[in-house]
Amino acid sequence: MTEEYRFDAYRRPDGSVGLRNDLLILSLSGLTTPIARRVAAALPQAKLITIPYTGGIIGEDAVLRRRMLSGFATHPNVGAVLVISCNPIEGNLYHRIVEASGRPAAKLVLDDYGHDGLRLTDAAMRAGARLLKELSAARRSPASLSELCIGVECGRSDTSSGVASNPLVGRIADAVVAGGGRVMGGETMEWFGAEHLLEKRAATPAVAERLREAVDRRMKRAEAAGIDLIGSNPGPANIAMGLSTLEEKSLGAIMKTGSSPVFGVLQHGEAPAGPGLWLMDQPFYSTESLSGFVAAGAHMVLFTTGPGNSFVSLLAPTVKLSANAVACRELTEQIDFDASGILTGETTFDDATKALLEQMMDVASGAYTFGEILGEGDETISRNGETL
Amino acid sequence: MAGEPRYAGFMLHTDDDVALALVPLKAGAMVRIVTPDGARELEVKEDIPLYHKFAMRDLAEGISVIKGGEAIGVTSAPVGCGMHLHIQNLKSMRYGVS
Repeated sequence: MTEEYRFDAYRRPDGSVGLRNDLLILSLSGLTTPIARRVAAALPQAKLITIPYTGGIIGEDAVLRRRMLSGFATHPNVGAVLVISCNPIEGNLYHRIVEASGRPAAKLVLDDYGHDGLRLTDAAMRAGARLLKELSAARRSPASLSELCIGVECGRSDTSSGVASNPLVGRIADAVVAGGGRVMGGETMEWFGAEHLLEKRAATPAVAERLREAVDRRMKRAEAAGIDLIGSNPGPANIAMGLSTLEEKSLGAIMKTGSSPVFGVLQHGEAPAGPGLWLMDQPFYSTESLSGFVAAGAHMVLFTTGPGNSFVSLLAPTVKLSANAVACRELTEQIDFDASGILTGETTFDDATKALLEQMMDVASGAYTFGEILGEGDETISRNGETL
Repeated sequence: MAGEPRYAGFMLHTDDDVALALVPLKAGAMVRIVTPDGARELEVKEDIPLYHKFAMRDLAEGISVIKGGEAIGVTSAPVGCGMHLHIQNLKSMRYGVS
């Protein structure tokens, strides 16, 4: 069944395929953020990622920052990069990383412009315009599910998420895995209460151990901060919505990952080593979580919500879906896929799976999501420690 | 109400012991339920708030309750078919949550 699902994508010199052919303006320092915003405003077709943290980032945070920035700079949907930096060391580093991936790049460093932000703005606008011109000549060619990597996410969930939209996304995850593609789930705290189910699906005992450790580590951090996750799950709002136990709540969340074996546990932003289903040990908050998938190379995100959630990824087109009939009726410029018919008996899981896969192939081939049209996307880098 | 569902209950998995109320249900109402194996009809014995669960069969005390094909807890009292299943009669198996 999965062979019929194909899409048209941009071929990259590094062997990946892109669903978009974006010019990424990547500003590596807080000092260049206002300049990068000015350049992005002048080049509205470009996408802007700007990171406020630069100096004094050490240890785990430095490693994470480099992994995330490298992932953004060589994301498959990115065709070219304008690197803007305050210092030549970082500017050169990420310029080289982009060039090594075979993508055109330009580098603009404040030191080279005597820290004159206006002169740098002028040069960046000109370089960006040339890159956009070059990118616009690219054409798409056919690609298959085996070349696709998706992330699955939920945000502002309700009961309809757990019984309809998350199981639907789970079916899509299974279809992408069956087609030889890659699927990433994350939001470690959602595994809490469903560890026993995920461990049963672990491809090896070592993966089961990593899953357990990942949950335990975050539980201990919460405990150390005085937060009682066990006693407060499900919370009063969950209980009012009809969720009775922790297992019930967690089961609804992990249904997004389908039923495939879990091949491995990834660090935040770490790319999967091969096809299949992978779980990323990462923060649960959507802005951080989506950026982890994106840095790891997710082309597209399937994002379920109950009553609505406008946030999307900047680089990975994000298909927003809900089975909450009110949200689907009211949020007509937010919900890309209406799954409410599953609950009302108007459609079946099988038919909704087919319709969603078809919509995903359209989006993969260039159709816009509402999040893209309205510019609801962003990317960020998580922090764990203190700046020096 | 516009778009009122043709069905008033939803059962996710063939093996499930419970279904969800898609609208608030009154005690004594005959409910038509979407299941993976087609429609089923059942009389609810208690008021069921929106999106809350009701039992699809008689459940003895101390047994695992299946939803979405997986155990979501253990009954702490007998629950008759059509009765409201929630924190008053369903407990976590893994933690002492009351």
